[in-house]
Amino acid sequence: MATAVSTLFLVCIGGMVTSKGVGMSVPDWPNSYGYNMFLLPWDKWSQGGVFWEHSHRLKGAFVGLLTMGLAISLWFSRVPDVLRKLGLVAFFGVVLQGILGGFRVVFDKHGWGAEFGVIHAAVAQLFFSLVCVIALMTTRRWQLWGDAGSRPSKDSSLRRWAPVLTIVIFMQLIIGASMRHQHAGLAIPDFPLAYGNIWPDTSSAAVAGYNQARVSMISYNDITAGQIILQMVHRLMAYTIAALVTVCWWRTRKTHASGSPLRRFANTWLALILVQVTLGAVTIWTKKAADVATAHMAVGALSLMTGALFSVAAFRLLPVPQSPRIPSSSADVAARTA
Amino acid sequence: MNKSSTVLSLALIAAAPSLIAADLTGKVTLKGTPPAAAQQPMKENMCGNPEAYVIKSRQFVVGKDSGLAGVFVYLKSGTGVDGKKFAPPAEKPLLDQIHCEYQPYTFGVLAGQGFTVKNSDPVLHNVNSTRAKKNTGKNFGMPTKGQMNDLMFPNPEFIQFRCDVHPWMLAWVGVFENSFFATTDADGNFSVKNVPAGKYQVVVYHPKTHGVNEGIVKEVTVGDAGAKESFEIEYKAP
Ligand SMILES: [Cu+2]
Repeated sequence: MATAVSTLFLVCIGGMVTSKGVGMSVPDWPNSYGYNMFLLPWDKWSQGGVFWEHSHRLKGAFVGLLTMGLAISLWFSRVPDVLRKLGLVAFFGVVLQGILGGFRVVFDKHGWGAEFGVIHAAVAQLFFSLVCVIALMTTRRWQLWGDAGSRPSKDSSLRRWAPVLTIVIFMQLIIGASMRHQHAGLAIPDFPLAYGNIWPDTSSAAVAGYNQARVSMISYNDITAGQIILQMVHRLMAYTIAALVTVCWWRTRKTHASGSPLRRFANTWLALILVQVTLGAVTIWTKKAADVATAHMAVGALSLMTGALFSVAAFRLLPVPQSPRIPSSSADVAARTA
Repeated sequence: MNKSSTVLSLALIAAAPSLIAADLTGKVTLKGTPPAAAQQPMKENMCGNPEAYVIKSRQFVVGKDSGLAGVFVYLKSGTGVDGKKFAPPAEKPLLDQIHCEYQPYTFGVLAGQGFTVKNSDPVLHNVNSTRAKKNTGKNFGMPTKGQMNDLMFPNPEFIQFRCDVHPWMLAWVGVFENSFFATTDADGNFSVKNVPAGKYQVVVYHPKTHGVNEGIVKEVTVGDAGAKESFEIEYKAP
């Protein structure tokens, strides 16, 4: 019963976090909000800006309350200890997130707004994944997975692969967030090439030339060599992640029957990553259209979340890896021969 | 005029040849073809303009004979400026916000000299100069038509002004160490007034081209009759 209530709470939070994710394109306010400006009547605009900022704060407070309810209901229900602890982590995470959001605004004056903005965004991603993991762990299915008899495979390599890959995706999201928060627009305007080359020239003369050519209606900041390199790292990591998730998917396909939970997670994961790479390319080709860029960020959050769910599911479903040991003790030898 | 005062003024002129001042004039041209200006179509009654109109980006405004508009020209060092202090004048230039554009796009003030920011539109603008590096930038809203706010920056640098409500709104304020500065007109012509005769390092700074770099630096000798100098900025297509 408590589980059901929690799950309901979780679904609510999931929805809130998602809409918060949509809201994430707005906290750049007033900078990137200009994209959609025209839809609003001019004289209402000041109210509009206040509305967005205020509603983001209200939503944050609401998610905070829901998370508190979640943490409390988990604490007092008959669930494994680990779930109680995760509930606490979520609660402290949401408190931290609120403080970071405030810092972001306060420190903006001192030139640290972007840094706090990136941390704020990173914690939001982690929080979203954590809440989804908690949701998964409170389902009936999760209980069934715990039965040793339902082990779908003896291959435990995914236990290692999936978390590592999820961490790599998280790093990629942080790079993406820091690119967003620099408000420099596109550091590299073309794709798949970069300024017409495989690797762009980042000498100061070349960068000055790139900036000279950035004639635009939006008064973007000038780009720097560092931002170009960051953008290249983001691209290279995207290829790497796509390749590794494909390997992961292939591995799952080979060791799991179709319709098994890990197969489904792997399918979703690969699909999301392919959509994500496409959205990344389209972001560049549409010159960072606001809706495409926001979709790119949202699918990034979903990819991380799927990676996290895949990882915990792999931990639940797959046996603890038997590290290959040189049989040194007689016990080992006995175990082997037994 | 009596004899002693004539002698005195002659003596003053003799003792301070830099009192003879003339103008440093010339032209800044652009070599190469920049990208066409970006455009922002505006509907009627937007930003207080009864007619529909188009706002164009002003990063490259090229006039007659390739003259480049809105370029800063100033004396960095030399005879009449080294070791001298320049008291900021009381006169306050105006940075206007009209029909959702800053006017002018570029202008200069002496360090410590005040200037007035005005909102001539019936809409909210926020005046954001927080990208300043050597000064404390400000960011404030101007919701009312006719509102005026004064600003002053004590340290020399080029400061970008933006409105975040209308992301195309962009202006550059040059804050200078001495009073010898100018911006080029629509055809790239400039005139730095009343420069004492001597040798100078003249800097030509175009925000879009030079960014964080200093700009073109050239040594120029200004004679009793002034000097005429031309500068060429190159557009390097990437
Ligand atoms: Cu404005």
